[in-house]
Amino acid sequence: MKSKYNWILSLLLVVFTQVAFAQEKTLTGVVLEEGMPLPGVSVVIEGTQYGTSTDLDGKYSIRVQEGQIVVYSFVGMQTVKHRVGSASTYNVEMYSESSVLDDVVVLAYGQAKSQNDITGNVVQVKGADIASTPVASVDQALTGRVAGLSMSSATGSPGAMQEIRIRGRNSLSATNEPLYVIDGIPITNDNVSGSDAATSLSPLSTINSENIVSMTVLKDAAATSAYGARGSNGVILITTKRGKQGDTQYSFRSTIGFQDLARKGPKYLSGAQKEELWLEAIYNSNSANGTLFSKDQTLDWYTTAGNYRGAYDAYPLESWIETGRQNNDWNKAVRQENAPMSSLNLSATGGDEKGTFFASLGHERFKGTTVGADFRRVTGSFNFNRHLSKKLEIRIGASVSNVLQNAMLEGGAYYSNPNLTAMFLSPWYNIYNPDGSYNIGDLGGEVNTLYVMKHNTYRNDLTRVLSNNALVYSILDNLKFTSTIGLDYMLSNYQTYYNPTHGDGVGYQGYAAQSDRKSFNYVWQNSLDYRFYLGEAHRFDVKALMEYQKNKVNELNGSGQVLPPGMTSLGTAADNYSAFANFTDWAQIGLLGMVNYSYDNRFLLDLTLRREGSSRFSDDHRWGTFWAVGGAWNISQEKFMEDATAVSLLRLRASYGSTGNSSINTNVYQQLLGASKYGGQSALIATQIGGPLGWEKQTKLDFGIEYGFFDNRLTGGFAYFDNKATDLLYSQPLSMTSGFSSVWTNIGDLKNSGFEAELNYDIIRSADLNWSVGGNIGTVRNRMVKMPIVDGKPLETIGSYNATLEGKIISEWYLREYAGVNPDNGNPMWYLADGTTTENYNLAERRFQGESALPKYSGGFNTHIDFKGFYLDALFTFAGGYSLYDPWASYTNSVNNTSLYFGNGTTELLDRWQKPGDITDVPRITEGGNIAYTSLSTRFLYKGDHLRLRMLTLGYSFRPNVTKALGVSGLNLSVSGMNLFTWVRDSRLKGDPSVTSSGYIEMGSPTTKSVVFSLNINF
Amino acid sequence: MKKVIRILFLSGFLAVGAVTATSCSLDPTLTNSVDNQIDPITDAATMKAAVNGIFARMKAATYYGRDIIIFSEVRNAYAYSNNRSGRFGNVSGGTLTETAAYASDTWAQIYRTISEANRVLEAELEETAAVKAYRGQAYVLRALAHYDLLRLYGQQYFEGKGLTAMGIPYVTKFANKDTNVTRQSVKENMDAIFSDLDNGVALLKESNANISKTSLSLASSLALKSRIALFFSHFDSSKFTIVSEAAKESIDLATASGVEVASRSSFLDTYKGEGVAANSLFELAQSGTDNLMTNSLFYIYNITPQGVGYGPVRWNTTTEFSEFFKQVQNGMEVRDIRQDILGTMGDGALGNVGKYTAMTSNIKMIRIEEVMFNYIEANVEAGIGSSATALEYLNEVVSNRIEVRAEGSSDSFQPFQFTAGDLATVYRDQRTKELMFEGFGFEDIARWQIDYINPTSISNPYIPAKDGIIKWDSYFTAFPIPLGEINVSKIPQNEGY
Repeated sequence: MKSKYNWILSLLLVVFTQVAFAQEKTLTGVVLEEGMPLPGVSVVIEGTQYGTSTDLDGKYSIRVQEGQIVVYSFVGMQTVKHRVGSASTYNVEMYSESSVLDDVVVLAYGQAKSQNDITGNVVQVKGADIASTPVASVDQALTGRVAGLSMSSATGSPGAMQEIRIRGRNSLSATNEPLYVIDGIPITNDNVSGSDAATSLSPLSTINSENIVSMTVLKDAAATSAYGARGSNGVILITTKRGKQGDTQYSFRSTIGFQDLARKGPKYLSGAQKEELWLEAIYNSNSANGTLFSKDQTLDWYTTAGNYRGAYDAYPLESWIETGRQNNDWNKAVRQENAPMSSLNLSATGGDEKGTFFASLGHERFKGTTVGADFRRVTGSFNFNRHLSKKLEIRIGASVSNVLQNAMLEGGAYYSNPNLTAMFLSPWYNIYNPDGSYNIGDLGGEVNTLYVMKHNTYRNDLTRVLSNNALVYSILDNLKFTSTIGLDYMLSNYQTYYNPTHGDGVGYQGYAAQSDRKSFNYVWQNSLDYRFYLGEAHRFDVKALMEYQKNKVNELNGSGQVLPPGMTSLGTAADNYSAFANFTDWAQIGLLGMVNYSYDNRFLLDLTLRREGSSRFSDDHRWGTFWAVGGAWNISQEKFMEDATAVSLLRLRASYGSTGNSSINTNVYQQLLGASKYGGQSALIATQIGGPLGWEKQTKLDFGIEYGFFDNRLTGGFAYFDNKATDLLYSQPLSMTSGFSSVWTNIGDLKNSGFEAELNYDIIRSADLNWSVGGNIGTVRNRMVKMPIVDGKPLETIGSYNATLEGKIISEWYLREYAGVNPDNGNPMWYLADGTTTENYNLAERRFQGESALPKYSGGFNTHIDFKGFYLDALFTFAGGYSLYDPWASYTNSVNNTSLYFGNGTTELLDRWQKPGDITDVPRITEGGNIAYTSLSTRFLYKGDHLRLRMLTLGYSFRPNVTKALGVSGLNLSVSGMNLFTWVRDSRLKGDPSVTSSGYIEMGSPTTKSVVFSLNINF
Repeated sequence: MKKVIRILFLSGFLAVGAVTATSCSLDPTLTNSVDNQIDPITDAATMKAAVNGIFARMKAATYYGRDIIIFSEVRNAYAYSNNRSGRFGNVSGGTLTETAAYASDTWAQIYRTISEANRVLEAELEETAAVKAYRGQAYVLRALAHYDLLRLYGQQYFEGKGLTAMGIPYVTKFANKDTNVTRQSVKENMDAIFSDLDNGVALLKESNANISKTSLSLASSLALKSRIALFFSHFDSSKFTIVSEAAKESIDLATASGVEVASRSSFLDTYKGEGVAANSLFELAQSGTDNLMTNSLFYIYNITPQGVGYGPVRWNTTTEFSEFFKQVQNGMEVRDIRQDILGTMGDGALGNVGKYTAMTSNIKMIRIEEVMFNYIEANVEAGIGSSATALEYLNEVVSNRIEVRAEGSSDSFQPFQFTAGDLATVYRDQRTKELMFEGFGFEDIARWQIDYINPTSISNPYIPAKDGIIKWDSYFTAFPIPLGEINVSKIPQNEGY
């Protein structure tokens, strides 16, 4: 916009400037863009041929009559209209088209409306906010920016899957993930990592955040019902950049930064601390009150042959002492400090009235904070649209990307998981040999993951082609036919190599595997859009759409053993080959009708009806019908509000309707026999019991108020929602005696209700200094309303950690309550039903904890200050009303051999009970006692309430006079910090408070913080 | 141009119609599964695949592939788990809880196995010889699976209740969603098990099929019958007759087909070969591409010098190894080849290094030596059968294991034989030494009403006396019914949990 090309263009236009005819009066003024004069702007009287253009100083002069409308237009700028009044000067401020987009919200099926035309509850996040968040997958940028949206991940490794919950948990067993739609095309977003054991890989990580214009989150029935069948969990629309008219403009962005752990996490015992504790345990177990030997003599007694008869030989401790009591901090050893990250992006856009294009190239690289993890992405995309004729327009777009992710076995407690090493590996085992090489000798059966990550391969290589094509035919001015085809092809290759020297490959003399997963998703939409008026004020927009989606996944895996020295490829394996292949597919057909009615822009009514069939359900339950009604009243448009000048915006809106959920595995309604093998022969085993299965349905009620005061300096909104899901897709546990663990059925009802509020205030609004603050909050109250009746009473689903009962929160924590350590004898205690304490774990009462793993409230608040090109942005996020459990406590906090002899424990164990009268939470330590201490109880349940400084950005945009001198149209420098600070309410929780909906602290790489420097140039 | 557009436009609409019309094609594809309601068992080939399915379920790590064998091997006088890598310590120490994975996973896996057997038995096919052989195997395997459930979860030992104690649900229907599940008494279970065994043996006899040793033959079915009868004979001495008769019939059949007691020189090798050993009646097949890898018995028994293996199972140090395998006895130098099964593990401890020496080792289900010991026990305990045959069997085994010479002599070692008078005093010791690490340790001592103790049980806080001794009639000897089962079917938990 702010480029020298404008000048050249303006000179050309001046040639065509028409001489003004004699009019009643002369209107003069200056056209400015960001305070700078804009030459060459066309100034035309609407409905006439008469016009002029601005001169080199942005000045214009035109003969007009009062009441006429003057139109100021310029390529790439938002057109401005001015009704001529009595004044004879009018100065115009013009804004670039990109800022126009800020006010337009992208809705289902490519509809774009201004906020005032919407009846549904939607939140749009701008592309700039997404691009400036230094994360590998774009969805992560939504954190804290959308009321009612909470996000978490099992690992902080770059590119991993994120878990998003919009307005809580809406389904019991089907997915609670929202539907993702890229440029109108619903996509699948399942983990594409080649192994469940390895770091997950999100398909969204293939998308270059620089290419995104906006992400829109659809929350209520009116907004989601267009995607009715799959809208239960909300919808996230991602809109990518399209070309803009005008001369070709280039944009270059480069970032460089580094990452570390957001929170340090628990500290683990050093070798000396562990020695001290273990010897105390030996003493406590073998020499009651010093009868056999004194505490000081424990080491001697323990290591003298013939004395100790127990299960825990002194050998590992002795050999550590012999090698000089080295300090082995495994937790530190497996982390990469200041892990670097960088990105380079170049894009170009341009075009004319006939057509536009947008092209971009990007390269991104992230190192993980855990040894061996990294992520690299290369993207290229091209969007093109052209008017083939007055009536026919074609749009073609393709984005190609390749992601290379070096993963690790962090999907569980695998010995080759460096995060397990950090937690479990005994500091009595040396990390390095005296010669500096990795110690790969006896590690108590565990693995030196530093060696393993260096010599093994766990690599995801994902190539994705996402193509979006449309043909638009304007049958009449107000009748349009659109046919869209979206193609999404993902080829994910996963390579595994286990070296034959140490770790998982030893038993096989080397092991290699490779898997190819080809996923093809295509969506074809055909729609008719018709707009008509009844009288002047009644506007109708009607849409009819048919959508067909088919998804095919084809997998081929192979593995082999016994590899030649130095070889790592499956192709070199000499023995024990095995192969696996699988194919799954699903299809969905939807028929949609939509009517948007507007009366004088004051009253809005939206009606939606969708009928959808899914191959996931049994024959007679395949089709579902979903509908929604939405309405809005723009009060501020009413005549009686004309005098209320303080009120810039006031509107009420409400919606009610139904949506569905079909996101379950394919074929679950069938009684399946799977292929197996025995003794070199084929076998069939019953793998799934099957049964009739249909749609999960949800009714959503949402009403809200939106307001803006004082020229929209104070804006905000408030919404209440009440979602009720019925016929829940539920994997109902069966008696295991049936030979099956569960059966999919439609049972039970659940409800989520809550409110969401947003508020924004521009404290200072001026040319040089702006300061605004804003915030949002969303609450969710979750209840299981109805459970099916079994044996005359409502079904109770009771798990080890949590339970789902009628009237309770879904998966509410249901645990025995820890009552501390008995000061007299150092044994752990729990509460009995009568409120007294017991040392017998089994007798203690299980109690509901009033919370699940999903936050009851979450939100964010932000502030923005800019002053003469300098700007500061801060975003804080918070969540609360949830708890998380540490399932590894029985390994890292045991008061016996598990932590103190075999593995390692946290430094919390140093607070153990030692003598009568000690008040502590950690019991007396012994060789094998007090196992129940780490059994499931509230002892290891932590409150997740936290506050985080999610983003802090300080930047400077060079002023136009500087950029002009440099020959560029824009130049911006900034430094951002993500997750720089995290405050957790529960001081017992040392790790990160974010947790997936399972509620368990996973053995993945911890959440990261990062600092990133970036440079943006437009020219 | 306009024409082209119109054609495009029309064809677009036509295509809409076409796709809509294909809406009935919303049937998903199945490539790696079949729908049992569309393609059930219809002939001998599909029945064979279903019977293989039973074996496929049995070989899982949570059943015969590992766990059920280890459950016995960490609860006896000679071996235990020190909980290395967090495996089997709670079984060994008697600290299982109702949420423990060991209790839950094996329960589920055995019922899956039963489910496969029921699918075979419910199929209505013409009874050809082949079909009879398959159905016969399914009956015996269903009996074996219920027996395995009962020996783990039944409370027959607790307070010596025996047949009146709570048993386990006996399932004879495939894919039954009914939640009305009940625990029958041990007696009812016993009757159902013998009924299935009798049906199975009868069908296998009728079919007269030649069945490989990696499936269930008539000889191995009879052998299992003798094993199961031996278990019940402890509560119902009339079952000793079945033990003796089934064992004899099995041994005769097996011997006729070339099965023989492993010689001293080949004994260790029978655990190293890839194929089925000559002394085996039934093994679950494993191979280079079909084995349990890190979940194998090899991994649980071993720690190699390279660090391969979890190796929590090791010698129970509350028993002196030198007392267990005496080097000198009654003035004779004794060399028992079975002590070579034990050796030093990668972490320096004494453990099983001779049985299950590779991930690919077949799982020994039943071998002729065990059947002989079953016969011997029935003879000694109840006087059933011939004591001459019993002694003959004992010496056939012992002479192939032990060789002796006079202490201090330089003579060559000679195979050792017991006399008739020794039979009653030595058969238990000999049985234990012969079968150690093969999944009999606990059931044998429980049957003989012997308590056990090991370094892990020493710190069991739930033992009232806190002395680490797990009494044969205490509640510890039955696994808890998994909480996941109780939550759904509301069957009663075992007493004590």
